[in-house]
Formats: sequence, structure tokens, C-alpha cells
Amino acid sequence: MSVKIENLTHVYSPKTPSAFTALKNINLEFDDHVFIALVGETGSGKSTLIQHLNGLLIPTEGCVYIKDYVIGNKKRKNKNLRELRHQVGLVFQFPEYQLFESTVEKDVMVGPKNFKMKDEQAREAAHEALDAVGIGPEFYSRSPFDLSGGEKRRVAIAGILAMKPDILILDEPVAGLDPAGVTDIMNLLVKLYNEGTSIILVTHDMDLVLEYANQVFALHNGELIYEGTPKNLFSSITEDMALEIPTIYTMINQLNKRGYHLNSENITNIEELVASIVKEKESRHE
Amino acid sequence: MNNFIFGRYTNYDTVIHRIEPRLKMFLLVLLIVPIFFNFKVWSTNLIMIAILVIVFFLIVGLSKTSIRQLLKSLGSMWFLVLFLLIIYVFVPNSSYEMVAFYIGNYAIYWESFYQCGYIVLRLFLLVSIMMVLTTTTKNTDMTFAFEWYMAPLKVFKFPSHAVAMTLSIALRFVPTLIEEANRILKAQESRGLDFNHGGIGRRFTAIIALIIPLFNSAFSRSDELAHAMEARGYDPMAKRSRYRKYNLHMVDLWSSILVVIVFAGYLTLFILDRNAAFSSVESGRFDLIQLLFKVDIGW
Repeated sequence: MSVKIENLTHVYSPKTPSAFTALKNINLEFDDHVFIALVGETGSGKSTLIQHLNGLLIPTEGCVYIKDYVIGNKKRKNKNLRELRHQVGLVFQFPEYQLFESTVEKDVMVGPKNFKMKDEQAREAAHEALDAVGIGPEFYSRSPFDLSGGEKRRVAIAGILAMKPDILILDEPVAGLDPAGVTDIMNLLVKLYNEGTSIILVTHDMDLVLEYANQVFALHNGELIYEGTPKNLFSSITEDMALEIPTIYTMINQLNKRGYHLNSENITNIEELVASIVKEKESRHE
Repeated sequence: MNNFIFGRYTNYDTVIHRIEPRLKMFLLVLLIVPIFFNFKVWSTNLIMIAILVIVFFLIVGLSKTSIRQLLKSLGSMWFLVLFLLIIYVFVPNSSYEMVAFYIGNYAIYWESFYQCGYIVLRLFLLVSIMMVLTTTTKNTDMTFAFEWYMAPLKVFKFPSHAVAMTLSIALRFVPTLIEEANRILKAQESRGLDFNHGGIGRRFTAIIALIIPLFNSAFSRSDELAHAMEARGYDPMAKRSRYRKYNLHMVDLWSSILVVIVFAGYLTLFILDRNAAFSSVESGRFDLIQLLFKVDIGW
């Protein structure tokens, strides 16, 4: 399911004194089965962009093509947005505020049931999704409001997963989670990716981008300033992009300043870093 | 969905913005009172409300309150309008005379529509005044004004500061909650809930899915706010000093004069109207057209 965005411009409250152009002439394209990271500082337009991908926002100008769906500005009729939302699952930032049912199980079933699944099917999908996020059967009959923050987050994510979307978009899914929670969520995303789902991850955490994504889009002040692989992004990063450099690259830079000759192109995680340090030390001894 | 009665404060520097908050509140109340004056002769009534509409439009224009938002607030009253219309049309008053048409043997009177429209117009005027007040007055100023007006109640140990604070917090959180509602709305729409289509049952579930999280977050927000205020040593009973000084300027004088003229005019005519039956007016009723143009157009 390929996605193409053409000349997308979005203006909030147009024709008022508070009109604000959040996206300026965005053009981008990506294929099926990708793990995309969408980065950029606060207010760069990331959230606005992803809301166009399931028709929650309608472009002020330009078009969004997703599979057979076309989302254009108001002159065209945007039909079937609901079906589109079935295929493009969007997990908002702090999704725990979307919980409302009396039990965890029922809450996760809301999505599937809205997309015409039968009760039994929906229950099955819910159990599957809850299992995927690591919420056991002992939680099914509990009220979602009695859960801890991390558990709520997972239940909310399961609520979207249960719809079995082809593209899963997550807005800062790990914000405010403890390190173990972060790893859990990221492992879940990798698993879903391996099963064939496209993942679009909106994040500030460049370490995650480097480790997981195979394609990066960077936004700055509503404009697309970079698209390509994470490695190229971080080697070409500049001050005015307002992006952080991953911890591991900072470390490589520091080591290189102190006399090492590490090549950041070959290193994406700690194991590789350690390996290349060891290699360099050995070559020195020889 | 956006901002029903309470507009967001707009950062303009208009005449209306500059009026001293306590005075502004008082003047706007003076303007609200004539809305409720009901004149016995309907033509007089129409003229009076038309003048009021013009005055209000001038104020709305001067304060740069967005007309679009005003109309939107009217849009959100449609259910009320429908309700009123049904009540007025099907429960006619015995004084109604002008039959519009019949449904079977049941007479529908023109007066029903007139009364209903009249009420809606008055509501609209009320809303527009509230809107002007909230879009031109900062929260802190509003709180100050509330507190000042409640000061006499302190004699009865009435916690006027606490009440003013509560009011200002409530006003402060209206836009926040609307934003929150929009966020939840979008999140639920992503889960396939549809707020605009489908039968009553579906919409009901959709509304529940909006209201429960909204309440939940409102409660947790207020809880957090209370803790944060306490952590900063807030004491509702403490004597407080004030950062801002409020002085009167020329704009206050002129606005007061204009508003008082309008109010006094309405009050005079209203009293004349009430007393017409006992006074020297020949027909025993107060008719503005007759008074001004010396013609009697009947009714």
C-alpha cells in the first residue's frame, strides 16, 4: 500500500487573524512495508502531517493518495474516510485519554466493532492485540481507568492494533515511559513490521530512529528538509535542522576527537561500536 | 463545537478592550436589561429590538469579535430553536389571532413563529454580549471585576475571593477543555467512531466515547491544579495584594455616557408602555409609530 503526498499545504483556521500555516508544500512518497521515522522539533508539523494520512485533516491545498483513496481539498468529495481509517491506524500522543469503556476487553473491541466485525471476531482480535502489547487475560475484565499509566498506554495501542491496520502510525508512543516500557513497545513495533505492517513512528528520540527506522523524513517549520536513510541524515545533520544527534554518534565524535578513527557509517548500535573500538585497539597494538 | 458562549480573549487594542473591566461588566449588564423589555404593541416591539440589534452590532464590530464565531454559536442553538418552535406552534396562546394554516383541524398561528423568532433573537443578543465581554476582557481582569462586585457580600462571610477564583479557573479552562475534546474526538474517529453519521444508537455511543474521557481528564486536571496551587502555598483565605492598578480614562466616561443614554431611553419607553393604560394616551396602549408619525396603522 504505497502512499504519495503531493504539494500538501495545511493552514489552521484560515482567513482569521490566528491563521497558521503548519505544512508548506510537502511532497513525499513511500512504498509498502517500511519502517519510517518522522522527526522534527516541536511545532514542525509532524502531527499535522500524520493526521492527513487517515483523513482526520483535509489538505488546504494538494492531495494525499493512499492506495485507492484520494484525500483532496474540500471541492472533491472525500468518501470512505472511515474505511481508510480502518487501514491506516493512528495512535495519538498520550493515547490513554481515548479509553472510555467499562472493561479493558470492551475498550479494545470498540475499534474492530466499528469496522463491522462480528462480536466474536472482534473479541478474538482484541485478545490478539492485547496479547501483542503484553496485557494478560487477568486484565480483560478490569476497568481501564484503574490501570497504571504504562498499562493504559498499551491498552490504547491495542485498541488500534485490533483493527489490524496496514499502516500503523504512532505519535510519540514512548513519551514518558520507563526504559523497559520503551523497549517493550519498540519490540512490538519490530514484530508488527516483520509481520508485514508499515510503521510510521513520530519521535524526538534519535537513538530510536537510528536503531529501528529504515527511512527518515525530517520536518522543520512545516517543510520537508530531509528524506532518506537515518545514517545519511545523521552524517549530514546541520545546526539549523534543529535535530539532536544520536548518543552513539556523539560518542563516536568524542572518541574521534581523542585520536580514534571510527567510521560512523558502519555503526548503528552499541555492539558495533564496541566491536570497532576493539578492532582499532588491536590494530594499534600490532 | 468551538467556543459556544465564551469566546477566547483576543489580543486587540480596541475601545471596548480598553474600558475598565468593572465598568465594562456593569455597562454590558445595562445593555442586557433592555433585551428583556417587552412592549405591548408588536410594531413598537420590533422597532425597539431592531435598534438594540444595531447597537449590539456596533459593539460587536468595535470589539472586533468574530461574527463567524457568533453565527457558529447560533448554529449550536438549533436544537433549542427546534424545541421552542415545537412548543410554541403546538401549544398556542389563547390571544393568538392570525391563523397561518391548518393541519387537519388544528390551527397554526403566525404569532407562534413570531414569538419563537423573538426569543431566539433575544438569546442571540445575550450570547453576543457575553461573547464581547469574554473576548475583550482578560481573565485576570474578569476575576478582579467579579471579586469587586462580590465584595459587599463579605459582610456575610461570603468567600468572594474563592468564588471569583473558581469562576476565573472555569473560564480559563473552557478553551483547554475544547481543545481536549477535539483531541479525543480525533482519537475516537481514528477508531472508527462516527460523530456525524449513523443512527441515534451509534451517535450515542460516539458521544459517550467523547464525554467519559473528557470528564476523566477534567477531573484529573483539576486535581493536579489543586495540588500545584497548594504546593505554591495558595491560601484562599489570605489577604492578597494586586499587581495591576485600574484607573478610569476618557474612554470609560464616553462609553458610560452612551450606554446610559441607550439604557435610559429604553427604560423611559418601557415605563411609558407599562403605564399607558393609566395615562392620557388615548388608545390606552403605547404605540411608537403612532406617537412619532401620528398615524395609526391598525393592529
